[in-house]
Order: sequence, then C-alpha cells, then structure tokens
Amino acid sequence: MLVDIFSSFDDNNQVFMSLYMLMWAFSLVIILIFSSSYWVTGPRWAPIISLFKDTISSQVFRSFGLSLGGFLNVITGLFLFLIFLNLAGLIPYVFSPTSHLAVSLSLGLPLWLSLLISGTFFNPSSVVAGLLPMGAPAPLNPFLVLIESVSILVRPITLSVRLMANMSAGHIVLTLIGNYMTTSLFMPGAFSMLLLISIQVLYTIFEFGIGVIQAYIFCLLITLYSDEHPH
Amino acid sequence: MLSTFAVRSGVYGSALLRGQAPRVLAVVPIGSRHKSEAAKQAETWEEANKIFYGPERDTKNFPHPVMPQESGKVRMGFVPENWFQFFYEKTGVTGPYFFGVGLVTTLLSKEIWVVDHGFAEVIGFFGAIWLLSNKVGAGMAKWLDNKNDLVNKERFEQPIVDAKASAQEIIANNEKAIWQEDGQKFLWEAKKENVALQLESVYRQRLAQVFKDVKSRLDYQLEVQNVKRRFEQTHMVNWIVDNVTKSITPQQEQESIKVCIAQLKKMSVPVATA
Repeated sequence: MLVDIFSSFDDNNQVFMSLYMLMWAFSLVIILIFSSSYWVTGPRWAPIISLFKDTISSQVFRSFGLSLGGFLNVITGLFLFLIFLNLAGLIPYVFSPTSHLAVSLSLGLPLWLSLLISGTFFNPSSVVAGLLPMGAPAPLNPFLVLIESVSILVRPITLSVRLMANMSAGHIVLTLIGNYMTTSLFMPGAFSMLLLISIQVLYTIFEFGIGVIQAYIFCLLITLYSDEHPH
Repeated sequence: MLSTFAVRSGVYGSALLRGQAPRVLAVVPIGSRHKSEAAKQAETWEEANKIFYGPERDTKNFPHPVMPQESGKVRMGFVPENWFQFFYEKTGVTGPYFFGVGLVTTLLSKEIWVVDHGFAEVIGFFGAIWLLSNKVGAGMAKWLDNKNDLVNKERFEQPIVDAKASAQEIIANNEKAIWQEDGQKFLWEAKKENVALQLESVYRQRLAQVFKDVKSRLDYQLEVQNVKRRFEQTHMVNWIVDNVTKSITPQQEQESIKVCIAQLKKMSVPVATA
C-alpha cells in the first residue's frame, strides 16, 4: 500500500472490506446523523442548521428561481448537503466526497443543464437574445455572442471544478504541512514543531470556513443562473 | 419520520407486535356528542393519558424516555465519564489514563497507526476543535441556547399561555354577560313603570275629554233655555210696544203735540231775553 499525498482521496479501503463502494456509501452517513430527530424539542446545535437554511432561503427568495417548482427545496437541501460533506471530509481519516470531480460534476452539470433546457423550451428567442447584453457597441456584437455562449457553456465546468479544486487543494495543503509536521515530531528542535502544529491547527480552522463558503458559492451561483431564466 | 413512528407505536405498539389490526382508531369517549369542543378535547386527552400512562404500562422495565437537559459528562472533550467509572472499580483513578496511553503507545509502536499526514491531521483537527471551543464555545452555546429557548417558547409555551389568557378572557366576558343579564330585571321594571305612566296619562286625558264633552252638552241645554227666554222677552216687548202704538187715538196725538209746542215756547223765551 503506497501512501502519497493523494492517498487521502483514494477510495480503496482495504481495512474493513475490499469494497470501494462502502467509502462512497458511508460518506452519506453524516446526512443521516444530522437529519434524524427523536425528541420533540431540538438539540442545542439545531439553530445552526436553521441559520444555514435561513441564509440560503433568503438568497433564493431574491432570485427568479422561486417561480420554478421545487427550486427552494433543491437549493436549500443542496446547501446543507454540501456543508455536511465538506465539513465531514475534514475529519481525519474520513473520505471527502466533494474533492472528487465525480461528485461536483454530478451536482453541477444537471442543475446547469436543466436550467438551460427549461429556458430553451420555455422561450428560445429570449435565451438567444440573452447572449447579446444591452448597451454594447454594434461592431462588437459577433464577438460578444461568441464570448457569452462560451461563458454559458463553461459554467458547469467552473461550478464543479471550483468546489473540487478548493476542497482537494485544502486537503493537499493539510497533507503537505502534516508531512513536515510529523517529520519535525521526530527531530530535535521544538520551535519548528510548534510552528507547524500551529499552522496545521489554524489552516484546519480556515478549511472549516472554506468548506462552508464553497457550499454557499455553489448554491449562490445556481440561483444567479436561475435569474437568467426567461420569465 | 422516526419521531412520528415512535409516537404512533406508543398506541399501536403492542397491537403491531401481535400482528393484529390496531384496536383504537379514534378516541371518542361515550356521551361526548353534545359537549363543547374544549370539553371534548379534554376528554380525549384524558382517555389517551389513561392508555399511555395507565396501570397497564410497565414503567419499571420500560421507563418513559425523558430528554436530558444537558449532554452526558465527558472528560478531555470526547471520552464519556461512565467509561472512567467502569475502570474505577477495577483499577482506581489512574487506570483509564494508563489504559489510554498504553493503547496509543501500542498502536504507534507497532505501526498499526502509522505516523503520516493522517496522524498530523488528527493533531491539527483536535487542536482546531480545542481552540474553537475555548474561544467561541461558551458564547456560541449561550447564543444557541437562547435561540432554542425562543423556538421552544414560540412553539410550545406561548400557545398554552395564549390559550389560557384567551380562556380567562372568555370567562370574564361570559361573567360580564351574566351580570348584564341580571341588569335586565331593572330594565324590565323601568319599562313596566313607563308603560303604567303612559296608561295613566292616557286615562287622564280621556277623563278630561269626557268632562269637556259632558260640560259642553250641559252648556248647550243652558243656552237653549237662555235663547228661549230671550226670544220670549223680545217678542213680548215688541208685542207690547206694537199694541201701545196701535192704541194711541188721533185725539190723544193732537193733545200731546199741543202740550209739546207750549213747553217749547216756554223754554225759548229766556234765550231771547239774554
């Protein structure tokens, strides 16, 4: 078993059973834990979930997506889903699903494509007209159409790669600092060890924030794309 | 979903275990068809409580679950207190710590727990959690408790307080209505007196009318007699005068005229001498 800096993204788990699907299936356990309720009055951390829900709901209420059926539920659920997956991936030895393009693209591509197809079937001329923003000088029109269509077509890639790259970059940085830190544990000189421990701790706190923010950006961008849907 | 299943299985639990259809479909106590809605609800609640908390429940072996106010006690942030209690009887106070250190040392030295970036992540992650809970833990716990208390108050406590207040208001309004109904007696007496006064005044008006009519008839009779007498008197006077005038002879007339002229001459003489 070779361990390199990318082995934390490896879904080959040969400790329990040699079944890679278990890694993906058990990465969803965190959703079950935070969705179950036994008591009528909630636990102490329940207002945090309400806080996330209220944040993203207020964002969706300001967009056109509210008129699309079921949009609010999808985006709120997606936001909480991404937050749980991102934060769970930061726990040591826990598989991080959102650092894989498979997960990000599976979430981003259908959402973007469904908005595009829905808009095209609703009012195709409005979608095509949206390719040319108002107030542009006339000679630039051909280039603007090309640029706008490229910008629209590249959206699923940017959406998913942004999430994947942020999460995987965070993990990779933590891995790199961790490697140096474990080396410094066995070497004389406490200063470098303490410095690296403090960097590791602070970067982990930073990664908590990045996880929440990236989930918010993912959902925010989808609500903004829904605003461009023809009315 | 689990919670609704848990609540429902309290009623249907034993029936489900035996594989029969549930016996209780709706709790409608006998003789409650003509009561008020609040009384019916109270009766339904009483019947449900008899089933849930009645003598058939074995609360010794299956006690009613009560939500704990605080989470279980832990040492060092994540190790439950009852693990230490478990070790205390056998090994004393330092037992669990010895066990923990020994376990970690074994894992590390036998390279079961390899010291790689994963190990570093453990230190980093728990260091981060320790730092965050020290810095913002207390404040965040207080803020979350406040929010939870607000939600609980709005959902469970305030409706009861509001219902009690509105019930008190309804009771007060009903008592006021009963008091107002008592006042209706006085109103009725006053109306009776008013009607009696009106009757009295109408009676007196009619009495006066009767008096006026009777007096006018009597006055008429009186006038009739007066007129008759006056008529007789006038007729008599006229008859007398007519008869006297007729009885004057011409000789008497000449004599009276001579007398008058003699008197006039007598009267006119003194005027001529002055």
